[in-house]
Amino acid sequence: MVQIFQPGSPETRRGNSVKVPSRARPPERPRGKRIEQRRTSGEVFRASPRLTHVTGPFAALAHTFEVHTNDPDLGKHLDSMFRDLRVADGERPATAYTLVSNAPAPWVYAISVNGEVRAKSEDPRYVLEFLLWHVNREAVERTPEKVILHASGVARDGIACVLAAESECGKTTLAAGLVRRGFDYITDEAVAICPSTLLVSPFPKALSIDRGSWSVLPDLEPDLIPILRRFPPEQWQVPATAIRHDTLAGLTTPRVVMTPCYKEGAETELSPLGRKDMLIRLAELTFDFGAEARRNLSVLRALVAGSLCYQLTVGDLDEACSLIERAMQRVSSCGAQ
Amino acid sequence: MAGAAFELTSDIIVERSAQVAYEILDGEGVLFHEGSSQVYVLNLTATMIWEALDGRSTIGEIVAEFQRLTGAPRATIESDVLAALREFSGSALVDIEPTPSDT
Repeated sequence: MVQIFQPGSPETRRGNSVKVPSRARPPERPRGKRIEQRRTSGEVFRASPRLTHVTGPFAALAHTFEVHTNDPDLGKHLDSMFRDLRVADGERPATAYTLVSNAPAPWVYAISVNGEVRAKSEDPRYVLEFLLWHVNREAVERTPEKVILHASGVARDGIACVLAAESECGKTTLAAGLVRRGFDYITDEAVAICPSTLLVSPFPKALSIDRGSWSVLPDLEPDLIPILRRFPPEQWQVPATAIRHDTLAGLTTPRVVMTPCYKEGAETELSPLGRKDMLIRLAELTFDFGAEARRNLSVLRALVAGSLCYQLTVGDLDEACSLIERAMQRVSSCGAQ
Repeated sequence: MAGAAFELTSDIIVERSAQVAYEILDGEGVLFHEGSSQVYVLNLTATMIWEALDGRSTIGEIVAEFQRLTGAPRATIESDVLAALREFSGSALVDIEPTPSDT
């Protein structure tokens, strides 16, 4: 006999609100006092010299782009920053960014998107931040056919570990630490899952390492071009292949899902998280969840049903990486339940 | 009609709202209401009741079917079903077609 009415009475538990506009959404637009962001015609570029440096083509998920600049140093910086997104020459990229370093005073630096000026500043960091922000946003928005989680991801032997969390929770730091230990790099920003196969596509943007993590990853400090030594960035942009040349993951199968949370001084701890609770967390962390709610819910259900789910409190990077490594070994040896 | 206050009687048909996405995980329901962007997690009993909302069966027929399946007292089943439906209705998870006397 199926005792469906005993012992408990029916209960509907309201999960955490999944408010797409205030939660998971494309990365924040860069902020800065000395930046002007607006759409204008090309007056900034009227007097600009020849754009001598073209870098690309690149693919950030479905967003294809190249970057033109008149500044050889900035060109070198862009080459390095985007190198893991490089794709073979083929069709013309959908987006051409133009970064000019001698725009008319008072603006020195300016960036345009397909010929439309979008940001100007006397500080090169802000136009570079704008460029990164725009690439990340377009990567998410131009890939609607995939379910995209605000998460970092690493892999070993084709098995992916998804580290899903809001900003400032340590996703990038963990990804960097794990790549350093020999894991393959998927992304530090957006894990893209194919609804039909559940495979994760790589989005190997440069790891954006915040100042707060520099002390635990000192070996990853990049060489800066002269202008950025004068205007030191708040984040290091570290291509994963600068850590290990063979680190880029291909398509991978997710089998471990974690929600990391960095807490200074906390004991590093990995605890199992119920699948329904994980599903709710992932819904919150899915970009534009409501736009394809049925598909997204179905994919997230399948993801957590086939994965080990954990909550990770991070007080120490090395300990956290060891715990993740052990969880991945469990999956490799036993398979997820 | 969703979330309206009126008496639930045995001849009423309750339908799942078209705005609700629904998945079963570990035997229990997870609902997402597209209008409110709210996630709901159902326990096993609520999930069974949710599953029974096929858009054709009346509340009385659902109660009778559960009684046949479980052998539990009708009053218990009816109480649980009505409690669940009130919760669903209060969160706009269902549409309730009132009988002519309710309109």
